[in-house]
Amino acid sequence: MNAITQDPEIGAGGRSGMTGERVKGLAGKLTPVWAILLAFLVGAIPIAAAGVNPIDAYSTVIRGALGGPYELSVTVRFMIPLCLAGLAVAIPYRCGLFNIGAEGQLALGAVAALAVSLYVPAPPGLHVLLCLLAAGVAGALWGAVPGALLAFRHANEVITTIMLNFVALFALQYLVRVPWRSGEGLFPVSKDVPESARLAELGTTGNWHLGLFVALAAVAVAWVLVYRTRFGFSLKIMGHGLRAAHNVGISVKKMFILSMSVGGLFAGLAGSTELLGVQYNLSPLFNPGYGFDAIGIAILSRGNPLLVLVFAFVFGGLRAGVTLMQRVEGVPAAIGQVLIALPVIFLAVDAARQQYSRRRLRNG
Amino acid sequence: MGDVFNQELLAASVRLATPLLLAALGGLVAWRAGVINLAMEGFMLIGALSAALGTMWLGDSPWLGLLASVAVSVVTAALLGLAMVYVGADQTVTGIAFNIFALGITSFTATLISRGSGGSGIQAPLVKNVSLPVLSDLPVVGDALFNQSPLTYFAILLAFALAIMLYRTGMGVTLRAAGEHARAADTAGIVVNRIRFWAFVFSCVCAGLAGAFLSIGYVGAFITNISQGRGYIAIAIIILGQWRPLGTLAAAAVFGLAQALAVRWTGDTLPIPNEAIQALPYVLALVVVALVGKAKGPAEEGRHYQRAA
Repeated sequence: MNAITQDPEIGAGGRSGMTGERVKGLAGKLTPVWAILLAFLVGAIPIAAAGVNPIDAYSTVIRGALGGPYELSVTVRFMIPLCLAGLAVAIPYRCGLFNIGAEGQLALGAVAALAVSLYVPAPPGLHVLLCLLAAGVAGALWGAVPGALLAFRHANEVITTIMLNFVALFALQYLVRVPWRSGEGLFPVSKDVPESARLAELGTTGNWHLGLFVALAAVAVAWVLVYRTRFGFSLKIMGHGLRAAHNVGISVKKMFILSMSVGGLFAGLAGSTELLGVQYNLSPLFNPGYGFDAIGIAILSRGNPLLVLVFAFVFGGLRAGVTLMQRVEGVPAAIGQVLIALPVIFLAVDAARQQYSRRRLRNG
Repeated sequence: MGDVFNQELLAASVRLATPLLLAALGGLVAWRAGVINLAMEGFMLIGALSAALGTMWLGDSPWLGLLASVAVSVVTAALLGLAMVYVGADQTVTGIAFNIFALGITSFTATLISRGSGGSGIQAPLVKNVSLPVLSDLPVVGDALFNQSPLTYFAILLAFALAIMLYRTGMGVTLRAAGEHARAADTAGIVVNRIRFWAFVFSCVCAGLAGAFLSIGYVGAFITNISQGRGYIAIAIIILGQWRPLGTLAAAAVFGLAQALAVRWTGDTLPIPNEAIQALPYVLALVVVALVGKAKGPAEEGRHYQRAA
């Protein structure tokens, strides 16, 4: 195992553990749906400690997420960036890479989209497309950096993406604080995206906007990429082992860079839809941690783009629902993060447990 | 420009470097034993909250607050260490998910408790600074360096103690062996997973103390997301410090200085934006990773070890 991960020709020296093991390693017996239900069960403890009946609290969450057209629109409004960022983690995950950098790629995507919206004049329809394009390219380039560092310098992508997140965030903070700042408020906020570059609102009530179709199209593209192309097949083989992938002629190094770039592209789009469809300006608080929720979504969906959409909807609903729960029941909305994190931990532990007993069996 | 670089800046750098150093030193020990502790961010939050609550509930004594922080960190770390080291749950996934969990549960608890106390928040008296005799009277650096929190002195001493422990004692050899070649270490009679487990718990306690420094050594209260990514900064510091205690001490100083400059550099008095100063240490760490690649890091980092092959 050491010989394979250290093989300079394959270039996975910086990997923590073997990639194949990692992807297979997270497929235990516990299904994601059970993991989520178990998390809700455990989450009932702090809710009860807050003096609220967990059943009341959870039914308010569901009402806040799905209770009507407005509630649904809030769920979908959160689902869009979560889904795109989820794809950004899911694609590299299929070949065993962890893209912890969705946060940074998302930030730079938003930065690029805002730059184009402010400085590249174009007619309405085209303007949006240009912004989305710029965001995708920016995210892809930022994703290519850890891919290349892994391929050529054996640098663990988990570590490099964490650092690149900080660099991207500081870049965003500077742009918002100085050149693109609007007004003299204490808290820096950027200028607004001009009307011509906004993703059109859909309908008259709620938060519906055209970004929904960007997310759906991205899921479709990702599905085709993963299941119907040579790229997707290479990802899968790499997920089963780098040695095997190398032996059948896959350029592992190229795939490291490519998969991280494709991931970054989706994350960049996540930033741009949030900017062009919802917030219309940037601030240091632009992103409430979509890139981290995305890691959970990718793990729950095991890299399947359709399931990414499903779990992004679930997590989006959770984000929408806990707000109502806080208002109506007085349970702090922060419980939402607990409910997002717990199923991921359960799945990771269960998968390892399964593997452990399988090995025990094999080794007698 | 001259007025930015003064004693105040030095003192602020030391203050800001303290939590980073504490967390990084712990993370370094775990990393050398073969565990990349990505959960430090979460443990900082948990340590910060339990220290503030401990102080508040145990008679306004910050020392009991620190004790509470250690106790809560040990129990939580033991559970997580069981999952990660013994069962072998993926360290990246579990670590990151734990951070989300910790952010949620600490904000949740803090909101509930401060609501119960009439919305005054969770305030706690600070651990008082200790002025070292003689040294603090030194000209220029005296007051800045030697009138600091006891936790700061502890962190600096810890760096030297770990330098001796890692390279001059049998325990250090054992620990590094577990991180460099688990199978060989096992053959030599070292119980690899026990070493890793305790190294992980140690790193979580350090991160917890780093959080405690934030809440009861710096801010004087617990606020939501008080760690603000410092647990991830610690990772960069360990790398910049080349996985060595004294290197980590120096790297933490660099990050502390960058943060202090950014805090004090709010006007446009200087030619470089403060965000560039803040980003610089990360870029340095990236360059280090790119230059040395895998070469200097522990060979077994992040890998689960299982006996009986």
